[in-house]
Amino acid sequence: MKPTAQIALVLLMGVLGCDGSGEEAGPTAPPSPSGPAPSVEVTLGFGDAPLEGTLFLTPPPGSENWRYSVDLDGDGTPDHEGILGLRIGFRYRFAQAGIHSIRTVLRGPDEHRQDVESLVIVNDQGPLRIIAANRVQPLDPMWVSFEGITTSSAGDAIYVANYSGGSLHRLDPTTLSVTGVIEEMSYSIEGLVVSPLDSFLFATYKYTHVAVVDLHDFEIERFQERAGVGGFFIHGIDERRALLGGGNQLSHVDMRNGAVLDVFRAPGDDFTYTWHFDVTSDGGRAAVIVRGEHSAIHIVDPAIMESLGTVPLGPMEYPQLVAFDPSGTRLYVMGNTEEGEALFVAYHLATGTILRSLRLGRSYCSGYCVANPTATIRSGRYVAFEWNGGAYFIDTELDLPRYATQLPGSNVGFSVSASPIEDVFYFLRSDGLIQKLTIDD
Amino acid sequence: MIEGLIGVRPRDILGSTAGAAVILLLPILGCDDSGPTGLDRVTEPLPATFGRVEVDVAFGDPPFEGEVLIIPSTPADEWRYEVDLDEDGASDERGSVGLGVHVGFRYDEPGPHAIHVILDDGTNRYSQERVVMVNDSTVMSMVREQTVGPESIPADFGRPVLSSTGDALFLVDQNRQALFRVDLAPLTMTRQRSLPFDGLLQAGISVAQEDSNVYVLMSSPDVTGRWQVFSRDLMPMAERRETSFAGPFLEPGPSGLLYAWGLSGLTLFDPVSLEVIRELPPNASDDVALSPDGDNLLVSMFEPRGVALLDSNTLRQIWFTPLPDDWDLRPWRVSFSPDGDKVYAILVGNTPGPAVGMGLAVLDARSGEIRRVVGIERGAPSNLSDLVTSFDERFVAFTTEKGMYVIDVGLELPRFRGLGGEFIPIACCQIAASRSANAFYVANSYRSSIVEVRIDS
Repeated sequence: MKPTAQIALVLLMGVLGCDGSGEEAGPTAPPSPSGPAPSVEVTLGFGDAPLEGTLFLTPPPGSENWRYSVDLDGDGTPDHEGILGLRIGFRYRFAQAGIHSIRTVLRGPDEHRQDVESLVIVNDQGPLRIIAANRVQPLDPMWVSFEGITTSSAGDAIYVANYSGGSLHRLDPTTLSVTGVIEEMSYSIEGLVVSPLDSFLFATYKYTHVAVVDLHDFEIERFQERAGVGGFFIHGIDERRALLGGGNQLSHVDMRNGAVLDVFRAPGDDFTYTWHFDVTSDGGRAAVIVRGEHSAIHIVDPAIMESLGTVPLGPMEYPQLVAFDPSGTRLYVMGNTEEGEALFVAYHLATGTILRSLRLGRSYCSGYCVANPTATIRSGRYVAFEWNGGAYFIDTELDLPRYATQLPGSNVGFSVSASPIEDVFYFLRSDGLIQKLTIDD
Repeated sequence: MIEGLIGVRPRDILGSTAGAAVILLLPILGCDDSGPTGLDRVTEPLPATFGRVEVDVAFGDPPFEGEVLIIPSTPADEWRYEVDLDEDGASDERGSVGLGVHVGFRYDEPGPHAIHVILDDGTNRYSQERVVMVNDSTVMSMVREQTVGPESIPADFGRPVLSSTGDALFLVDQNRQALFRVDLAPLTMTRQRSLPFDGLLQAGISVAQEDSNVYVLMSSPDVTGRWQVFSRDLMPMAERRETSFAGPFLEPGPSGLLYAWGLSGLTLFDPVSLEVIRELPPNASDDVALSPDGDNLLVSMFEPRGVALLDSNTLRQIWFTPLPDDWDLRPWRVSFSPDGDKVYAILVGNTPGPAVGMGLAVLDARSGEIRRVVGIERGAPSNLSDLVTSFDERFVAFTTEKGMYVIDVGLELPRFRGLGGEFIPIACCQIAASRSANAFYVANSYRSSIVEVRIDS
């Protein structure tokens, strides 16, 4: 096991109440004869330098006389020691980019010892390198709102769509110059996906229209108004079929004729609806965000469109985006707490446990949530999550956000796609700026 | 121990009226020489370079949980802290300050609780005390409730205004487009008058100080107003007239004049001739309050964010104090203390959840200097009534959707909160104070009623 992975696993113990029973769970803290241990939480786990936050130690009700020592700067010497009364917090500040470790030792009344390591990541934009950029010019300057982006399966074309202009643009993946335009796509176009053999591009629209573009002729083959499926998010299964989400149900649709083949209807009342979803690379599982009175993330078998179960949300009240890791064994989720804090959570699907939970600061995905919000780089090392007009990059070796672009705010979209032939992401800003970005490790 | 009160325990002080008075005096006596800050009461001056010691929220229901924040402005590894949470003279938490410490507290017993913080830099020890208040909702009781107008149509009451004789309330209802009189002994709706707004936006109301005329100003989308005068029996005294200002909010001014404020800025005008005496541009005020002596006008402002004191006649600015943005709060409602020496400002934010969403700032009325700012609620209110002073001048009350808050003038903290929940839901209530007892009248739009609330303390 790599050292970084060891750190990741140790972090879990105690911090998140993980029981460590997963197949890769590593060292396990035995149950304490002293009863439940105090919780250890950091208020901000990722951010730009200088990153400031507070480490809180909170005893469970009825527990007493836990002794603590906290080493904030990793020098092996406790910076704070004492006997835990009520909740107590210690401020930290990290100026240097990279991963920082806060080590907490808790000793119960019976001297049972628990070691907890909390990681805090100071962002470094240095490795994020833009290797090409271009501004896609809208056909009508009055209507600029680029949102959908996808890459061909062969990696030889990028497609972007203008939501308010109703146009589809084909771009060269090297120069990012426009090589073709379809003007009559109709406005409110949202998510795009290219079929696996590059024969078709499937598009979904805000008002549940759907479109199929023949990529050989680069012409609209079929457009159906108010199809009643999806609305935002789309995943291509083969040259005919796609999964569409973002409406009342996740729909398995024959895009060529509009037939709804099967649906996963989220359990709940009339106000329950599906939101973003992702599918494993082998197509065997889908993770579907369900919103309503109580949010949930269902793991769905696309073959039968039935829920196999849900993953625990922890403090995340409003999940926004999901993505599987390349192996399909882990699920990454970004969302918000009830208080409006952004939260990243990594789940181990086999055990249903939370591997990581990291607070990212106060922000909402509001006003401009894009329909192609996540993508995985070809090597599988990073998964990009669009957030607040920028992106976080989840390191799949750490199961943690490792880098982030600037996050300008919620009024800018930053859709993402990844090349299947090189380790680059393509980002589409809502004003038409397209950037080709690589991560220099 | 509190400076100047050696041998007296905080609880002894806080439990008595005299003690409360002494506490009140401490900031005046120069105990806080660090200038305007976001700090709670400072009992001994810390070196200005240290930073701050404060509680996150100083008021709440039992069990009330919060944090004492000891935040140095620069790393303070050489500084040590001790915190006595339970007033037993022994420290409950201690350690190195480092980059800063948050010490949790929890109180179950209603009333004030003193938190004693000692800071030691190795050479000197500095004593700090912070007081937090645990709500006692039992002292607040609803005496009577009177339905006002037809219940079939939801109400949207403006601020109720007490008659000059103190025996009746007048209030306008924007939704049902009516003017009501409610007599107070007993609480009875005795008059109502249809008040067609003709597409106008809102209506403000005032009662003349010299006589019992009821003035109503309705605002128009074109930022003009419609003016109508009624007798105390709600009989029209004259035809409706147009004004060059929109209001719609009205506030008594000096020498029988009135202020209109809101859409068209702040206007001082003659209620008889409707002549404009002075005016300030729009967005100049978000709430106004006349000083007890009538000489000054207090104005809260969103942009720039702060509180200003104006000459009540000339509207010339005497001072303007920007409020600290520690919690991203802005001033909304303002009031003078009953003696006119202090200014209260209720600060509100936009942040839901556990962050501080409402605060209380206390300023010196003469200089505008901030005496203290404390958080008093987690989560931001969506509705906030005026601040009104109780008959005996011990309390200042206001309402939000969480209930009616009663600030103890002596302690400069909310002391009681009650009647929340279903009684006072979001965006419902305005408030007036009785002139004969510690009673308040809450115009409850949600229930289309006037409620008499008494404080038995």
